[in-house]
Amino acid sequence: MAVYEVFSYCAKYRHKTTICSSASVFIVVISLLIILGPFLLVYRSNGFWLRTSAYREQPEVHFKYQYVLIIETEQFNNPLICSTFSYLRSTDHNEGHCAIVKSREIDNDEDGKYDELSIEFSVVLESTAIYGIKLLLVFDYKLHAMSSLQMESLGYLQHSAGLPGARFDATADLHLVQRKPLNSYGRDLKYNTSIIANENTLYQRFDLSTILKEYGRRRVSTILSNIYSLWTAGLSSDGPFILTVVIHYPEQNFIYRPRFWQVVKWAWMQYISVLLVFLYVFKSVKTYVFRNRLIPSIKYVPWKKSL
Amino acid sequence: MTFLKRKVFILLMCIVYALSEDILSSHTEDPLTISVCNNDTENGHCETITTHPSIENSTEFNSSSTTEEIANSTVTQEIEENQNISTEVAETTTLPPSSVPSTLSSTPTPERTTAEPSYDMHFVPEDICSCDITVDYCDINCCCDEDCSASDRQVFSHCFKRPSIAADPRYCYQTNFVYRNNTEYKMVQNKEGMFCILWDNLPSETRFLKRKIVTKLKDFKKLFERRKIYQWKLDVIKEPVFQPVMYRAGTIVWSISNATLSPLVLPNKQITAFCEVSLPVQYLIDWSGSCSSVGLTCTSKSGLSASSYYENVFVIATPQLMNHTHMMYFLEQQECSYNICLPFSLFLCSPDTVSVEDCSLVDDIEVPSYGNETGLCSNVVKQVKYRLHHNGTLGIIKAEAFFWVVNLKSGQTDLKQTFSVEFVWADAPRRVLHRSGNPGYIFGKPVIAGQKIFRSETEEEPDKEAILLSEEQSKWLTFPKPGTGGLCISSMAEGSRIPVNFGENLLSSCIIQLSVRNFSSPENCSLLQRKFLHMLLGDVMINVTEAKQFNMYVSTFGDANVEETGDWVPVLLENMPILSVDWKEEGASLVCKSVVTSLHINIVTSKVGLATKPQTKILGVAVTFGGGRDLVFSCSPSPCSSVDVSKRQKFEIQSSVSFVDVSKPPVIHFAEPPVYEVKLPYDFFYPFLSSGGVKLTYCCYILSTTILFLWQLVLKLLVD
Repeated sequence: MAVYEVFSYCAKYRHKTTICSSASVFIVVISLLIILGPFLLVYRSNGFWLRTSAYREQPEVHFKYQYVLIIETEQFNNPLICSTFSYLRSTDHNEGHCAIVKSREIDNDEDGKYDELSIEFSVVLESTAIYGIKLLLVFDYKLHAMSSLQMESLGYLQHSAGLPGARFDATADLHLVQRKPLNSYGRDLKYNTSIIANENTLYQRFDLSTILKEYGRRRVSTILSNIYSLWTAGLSSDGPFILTVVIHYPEQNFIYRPRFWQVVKWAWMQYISVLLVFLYVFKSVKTYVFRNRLIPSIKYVPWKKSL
Repeated sequence: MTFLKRKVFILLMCIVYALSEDILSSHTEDPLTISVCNNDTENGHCETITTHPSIENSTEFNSSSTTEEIANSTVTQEIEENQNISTEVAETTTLPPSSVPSTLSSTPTPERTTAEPSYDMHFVPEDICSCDITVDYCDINCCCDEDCSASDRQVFSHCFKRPSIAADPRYCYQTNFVYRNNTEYKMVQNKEGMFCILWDNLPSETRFLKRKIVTKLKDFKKLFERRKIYQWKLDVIKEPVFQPVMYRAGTIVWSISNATLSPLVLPNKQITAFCEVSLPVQYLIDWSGSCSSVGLTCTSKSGLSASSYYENVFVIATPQLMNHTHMMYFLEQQECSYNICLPFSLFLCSPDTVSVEDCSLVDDIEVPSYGNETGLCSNVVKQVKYRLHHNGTLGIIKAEAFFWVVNLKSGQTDLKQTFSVEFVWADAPRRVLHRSGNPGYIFGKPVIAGQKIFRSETEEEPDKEAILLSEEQSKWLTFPKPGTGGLCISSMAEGSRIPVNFGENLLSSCIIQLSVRNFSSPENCSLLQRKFLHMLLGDVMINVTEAKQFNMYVSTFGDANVEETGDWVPVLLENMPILSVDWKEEGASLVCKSVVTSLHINIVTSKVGLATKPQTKILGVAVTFGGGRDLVFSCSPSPCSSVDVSKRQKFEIQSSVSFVDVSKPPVIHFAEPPVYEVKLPYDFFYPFLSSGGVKLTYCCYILSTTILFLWQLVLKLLVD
């Protein structure tokens, strides 16, 4: 009758020693190496603590239906200003008038967030050549996934041409520019304030350079990027000057500062993976040392009652 | 192969469980196969390319007998014959039929279209015929339009596609294996999750909710609720309203101009550099701005005339006084008493004056007038300054207007005008010393500099040190200022030098014109050296022959105290220029050797004080004169003795300043730990200490308790 192994278990040798002994010192040193070694190794190879991380989100953007359109004509000392800020509207401009503005925000994928804004301005002018435009569009910009950020942001488009134009078409992306990582929690309403003073009192000051400098100083701001623009040369004395702009609100990468548990989780994953290797290696070292009696200790053999 | 040469292609798909990448790349015997399958999911889940089941295929399905397709997952589309496609197809592989799930094995009969298809545009009935736009009128290329007859349809080039339907991303797709999607449908892969719908045997229909129409305004407004809606805003400009309350800082200053009550305004620029708008003067807010006027006409009406800024303009002293009775009186009589409506006292300043103290009081300023003989438009306003003396709550006491006028040449088209408003306390001294910070310097404020003097105020201290600080900022640390054409302004008066402002690393240069007389002798060259040094550093360089004599002190803090000489640092000279300059005549040119024409000042600053409120302090100032330059006056072609004295040559002088911040990072100062005084009963250590009532500090207490504890531990161990 053949015999085969059905079950096995390990016998456990125990080594005992006093507190003040070389074996104690050895164990303490080995334990310290096991605990601190992986930490030092992982920390020195960078990226132990996760400082920043990235995620993707499509922002919730709304056009606030506030704009400033400055049209520079051959009457260079008297540009035509079209705006929803009525203190800026130059009704006394004898040559032109901002007649029609059409805008539409479209949600292409029906996910509840607008994907693009298309806006068209028709400006009626009399015998005036147009040489440049400056357009400021005001947006409401919201992020939800990490910290809840809401701010008023600006889309600024400028074009200046040597030839008089009859039409200007542009398409662009509204991109968020961040100077610092976003927070991963909380509400950030710091920039949810008016960029252009909207108290419609007469004599309200409007200084574009101050507005842009203040805006450029912000921690988070939006910029029109990926611009493709077309200036169609021509005179618009007969018909209106047409300005069409399509602005996309794309999904975008955002850098944020991870929360405590995410940082700890990443650190732990790195630490534990190296720790396992250390445990294995130093267990072998300990086994070798004690089995070969390189360090004196009292060995208890399981099948003997006493020493 | 003939089949491939036709104009048909397909969007594909299917499935197989065990097809690996290498099989994929292998060539197949049957080139008709256009389906590709792959299993890249570990659970044997099939990746299928489908479209939404609701997409019906209006065009024909194409397939070969060996191609496995999901009936409602393929969309065929006519395309032009394309060599690429046939290559791609040749590289695909056949699938063993057994590996295809039975539910997917329905194979539509292939139907081939010709290379030149004859368009058979028959009537295609649809539930919603969205291309039928015109009433009782045949819409071109609209195959569902009932108004079109069969013969009408013959002229159609194609049928309008129905509006594209977004594919449901919950269904299984594998876009990686769609080599070429030439359908109108876009593939979107569901990236949120591991599972996708492979086969839906009860396809649901997605519909929008039925919405009721609204007939009541209340219900209409309800629809807007809980939605942040942005829309065009139609509003009107609010005119500032006159209220008979006292002025506060920032409120609009009112005036009666041309018998109407309106804000006191000055022209300003808005978008261009031209005077476009009028901005109101705000109470207690100093302001200055400049803008250009165009379309100049030499008349008394325009903004070029001084009269437009003061004639018939009366400043309301305080709106409080302009109460109802006064207002009624004003409206009826068009008059206003002089204690309420203040007329401007007029001052005329000569073009060079900067300080208004030098302007002269006049009764009237002439209106611009064109002189036919001179061809000039005289008395054109270049600069206007309103100075309003106020008494805080009592409002404006006195109004002064200062005018600088120039003459315009007839061809001049534009003129830059400067406008400013200044408010001064009525009882304040005429000159107010402005601090440059309190205590630390503020960025952009002038660096305060003075000279050390000894004065005997009292008999006890006959030689008390003090700093002589000029009231004029131009006597502080300043650089020469370029005037018209870049020529250095030789005057040392206020406003004719560039102040060295704290923190601004400034580089300035200007031009000095010299005639042959300045080069005629060695003495004149030495005078030239002195002239340059005087120009560079100002009056402090007069009578300085060696570095020790240089007497200039800079205040370390912005709030300079002339009595505390310890708060001032001497300006050090790194090198002293040699005052006696060599002179040489080289052919047709005269040379003054190594004349100092440049100057650099290094100012070392540091942040001091609390890190939360850092104050900037000047630690030291050193002046370095630039290396001497040989100034050559070229007389050629004529010899130098006969050169006209009026012939002048230009020489540039440069000055610069650098601020170097040597701040060290702030150090944390911890508060000293409190000292615990532990009082033990006097006999606590009775046998050990001879005297009772021992006072122990916290430290000693800790030490003693630790010793006791350790002692007990040792005892315990010994007992064990």
